Amino acid sequence: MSTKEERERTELLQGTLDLLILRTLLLGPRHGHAIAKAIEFNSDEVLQVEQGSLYPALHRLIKRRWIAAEQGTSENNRRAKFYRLTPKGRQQLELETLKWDKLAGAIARILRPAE
Amino acid sequence: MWRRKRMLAELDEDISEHLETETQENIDRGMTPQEARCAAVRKFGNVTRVKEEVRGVWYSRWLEQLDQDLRYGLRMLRKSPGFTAIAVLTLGLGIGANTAIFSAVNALLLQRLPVVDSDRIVFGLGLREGFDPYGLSRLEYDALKERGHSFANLGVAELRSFNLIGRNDPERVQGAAVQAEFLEALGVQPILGQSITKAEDYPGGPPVALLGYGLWMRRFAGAPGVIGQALDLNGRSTAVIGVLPPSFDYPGEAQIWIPLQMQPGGLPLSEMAAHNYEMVARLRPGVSAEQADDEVRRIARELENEYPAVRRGWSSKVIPMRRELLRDVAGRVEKSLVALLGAVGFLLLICCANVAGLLMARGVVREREMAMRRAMGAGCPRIVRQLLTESVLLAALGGLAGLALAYGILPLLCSLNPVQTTAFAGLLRGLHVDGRALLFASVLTLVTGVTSGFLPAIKRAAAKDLMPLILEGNQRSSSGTGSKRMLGALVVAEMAIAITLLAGGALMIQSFQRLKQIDVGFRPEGLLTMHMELSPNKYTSFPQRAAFARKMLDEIQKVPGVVSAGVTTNLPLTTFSARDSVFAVEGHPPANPGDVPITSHRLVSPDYLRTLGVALVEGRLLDKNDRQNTQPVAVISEEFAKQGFGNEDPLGKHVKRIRPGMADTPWFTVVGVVRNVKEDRDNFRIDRPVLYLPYEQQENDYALDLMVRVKSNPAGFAAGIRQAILAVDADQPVSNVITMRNHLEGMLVNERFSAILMAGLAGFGVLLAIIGLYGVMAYSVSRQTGEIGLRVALGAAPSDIFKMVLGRGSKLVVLGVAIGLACALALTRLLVSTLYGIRANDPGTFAATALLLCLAAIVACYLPARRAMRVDPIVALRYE
Repeated sequence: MSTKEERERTELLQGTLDLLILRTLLLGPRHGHAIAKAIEFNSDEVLQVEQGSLYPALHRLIKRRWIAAEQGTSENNRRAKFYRLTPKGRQQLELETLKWDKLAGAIARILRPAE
Repeated sequence: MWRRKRMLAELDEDISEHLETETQENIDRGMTPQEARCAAVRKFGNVTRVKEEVRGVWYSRWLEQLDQDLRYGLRMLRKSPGFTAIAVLTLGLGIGANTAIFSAVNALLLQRLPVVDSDRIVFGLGLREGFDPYGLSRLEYDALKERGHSFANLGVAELRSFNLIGRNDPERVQGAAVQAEFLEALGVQPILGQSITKAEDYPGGPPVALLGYGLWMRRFAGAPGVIGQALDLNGRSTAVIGVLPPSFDYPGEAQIWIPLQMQPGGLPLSEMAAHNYEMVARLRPGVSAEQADDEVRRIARELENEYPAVRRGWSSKVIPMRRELLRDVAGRVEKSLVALLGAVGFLLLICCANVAGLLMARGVVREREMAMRRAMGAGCPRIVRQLLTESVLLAALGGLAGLALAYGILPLLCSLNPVQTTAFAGLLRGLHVDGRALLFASVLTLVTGVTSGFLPAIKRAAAKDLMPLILEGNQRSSSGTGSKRMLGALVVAEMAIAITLLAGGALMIQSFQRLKQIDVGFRPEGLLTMHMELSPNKYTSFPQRAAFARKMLDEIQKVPGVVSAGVTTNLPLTTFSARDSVFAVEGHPPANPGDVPITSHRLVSPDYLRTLGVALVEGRLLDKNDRQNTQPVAVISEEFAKQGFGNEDPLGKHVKRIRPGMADTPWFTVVGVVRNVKEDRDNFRIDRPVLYLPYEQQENDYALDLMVRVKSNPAGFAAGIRQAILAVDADQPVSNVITMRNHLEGMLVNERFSAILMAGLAGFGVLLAIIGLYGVMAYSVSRQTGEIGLRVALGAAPSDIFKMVLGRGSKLVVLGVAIGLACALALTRLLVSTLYGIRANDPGTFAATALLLCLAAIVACYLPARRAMRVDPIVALRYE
């Protein structure tokens, strides 16, 4: 990881990782690695999390009962833990998305007042 | 909980699965396995930090560290069981003793009473210099009611006792005639039926009664149907209107309350001045007990001026209700409890110092560990926290041991029975570890842990230069001076505290011994006493009463083993003896008409003084020939003779009783002088002049106290004597059956309680301080082995070494004793009012205390000094 690359990547806002994880899991249960990949891929690799930081976030979500973990098998037939959205997490995702839109809209209005 | 455990357990697996997937993908992209693995790890970030963060999601960091510290602490304690046992026992002793004493203080001074806001209630006393406190008189009550501004409610009661006759045996039941305001002021509400109100409490009102919960349960099995039932009380049919709550038995063990139905006025002055009333009053909001007392005293002074004939020499006082309950007019009980609490606190300080010493000595052993931790990056506060956690853990174990000890001690404290109380006895005597005591013990434990751990922890954590500590394999000669000085200071403090405790304990024990040896003026062994009240309905005239007494004494004389028997109107050394009056001595008119001798008079049967075992000084005792129609005679006490007749021979002289508002009695001829008998219970420290008159010559309706002297253990005669009484009158209840020995012991309960406990605390204090001294000396000798070896190798004689060690020890001891003596002198002054016959700064006691402690200290230093003397230089130096 060169310093140049680092500069081009956007740092994640506090708490947004949680939102991204929830959004990713909306498409179906996934294991940890797949979640990291999905976030990277879907954001055209602009958002690149240090994959390790995913885990504290996952555990935080589990503790809040927004997602649940269960044992399953990965594509390459290994035992892996799958994370899935709970109904409570689904509600939360809607709520957080709304909040995010509001926030993003507000910031955009401030940054480009003319438009 | 389980979720957290499982999530954390599976985290490792998750992470490695993640890394392997990533590695595999990298390989698929064409990296070598090694490159692939490296890239995956790089992309993942710091695995340890991730794990810690995940743990952080589930556990708070602080709690986790606490958990670590606790586990570590437990491990350390397990590793040195000897140290742990000694420290836990020491702390347990300190915490246990404190908890037990606190429980006593809690029960006596803090506990809630079944009275609304008992702290705002005061009790009225009539006082006369040199006499036990009396109740209040009608004069005082009327004046307080009219002129007082301190009280929101104010009511009086008269102690009564009732002969309760019914299905069961005739029974003597304590009770009271109360004003409606009396119960109102106390705020007591019946649990069944209704209370006494103005609707019953007026002159000529209906005969109604409230029952105590205990009596209701015992006599009526708690049946609600008792309301409205009629009881035979003193031969009068009385309707039950209510039941008062459990444990309410005020005033004086009352179980039956009837309305006082006080006459509105117009009574003769002598009746107005009779001190028969128990007064309680609720303070008006914002008025303190002291302010109320000031007002009451002012009103008493006014009365003294208005009614000099009956009020001269009298004053009144109000005291907080709790003091009255503890029979503690002078506040001695409070004072001695506070002294005990202070003493037991000192004991705990010694315990803390001992444990701090132990921790410090052990801390030296752990110096390397701590230095290493510091070097690895642990901050000072973190290390202090860890060490404090360890000492609090130790204290917590000590606290558990202490609670066990407190549970063990309490029955003992109960059996010492620290108070003389009649009302609320169940509450005030039942000491137990309640919620408040538990809280106290927990706080104490925490404080103890921090106190005993603080010095050592700071000492450990603050070391500046780490490397020598880490490198130093030899822990024998390094870094000595700092901790040595601190240990020395601890020993000095312990010695000082121990001597303070010892001095206090010695003073109290001596005071108690002197109180016990007070000459009561009679032979208390082998005496049994009982109390009887003759029903006015059955014994309507005095000759009937006199005949009953005579017949009863004859019957009792026939009981096998009875030596003699007599009756009196007042047992010696009972409280609130109301048979006191004013006497005139023929030919000795007092200089000031008001200064007549005030004294006690006792109406006694012929054999009473002989039964009591009072020594005759001159003349004769009363006998069977002193009858109603013979010449009125009197026997006087030595003190009476001294005050009334000075150097003259009193035999054949005359005295009479002056009754305010009534005609004086005829002159009595003095026929004998007897030794002084202690008559007052609260004022037993002084001798009061006493006059003994033949029962049959003085018409009266007083209750009778029976005094029986028997050949062997008096307790065994109670049933037989009771039988003899019932043979004369099958309906006559008997109460207060008690041996004179027990009666006397009851008098000094508070003094005994304080003295025994104080002595116990002092003993433990000294023992612990000596153990502490020994520990520090032994420790410093073992640390100095190398130095001693060197000295011996350089030619020091064993005696030099011995002197060196002993010298250091005695320096500490002398310093401690000097400081302690100064502290003790300052603190024992607080005991002044509780001491009898000994001064608070008694030089003999102080000298003996210092000597005793020094001797004990020498023993404690001797053993380590001897060990030092035997150090083999070769061994010591090789060890180096």
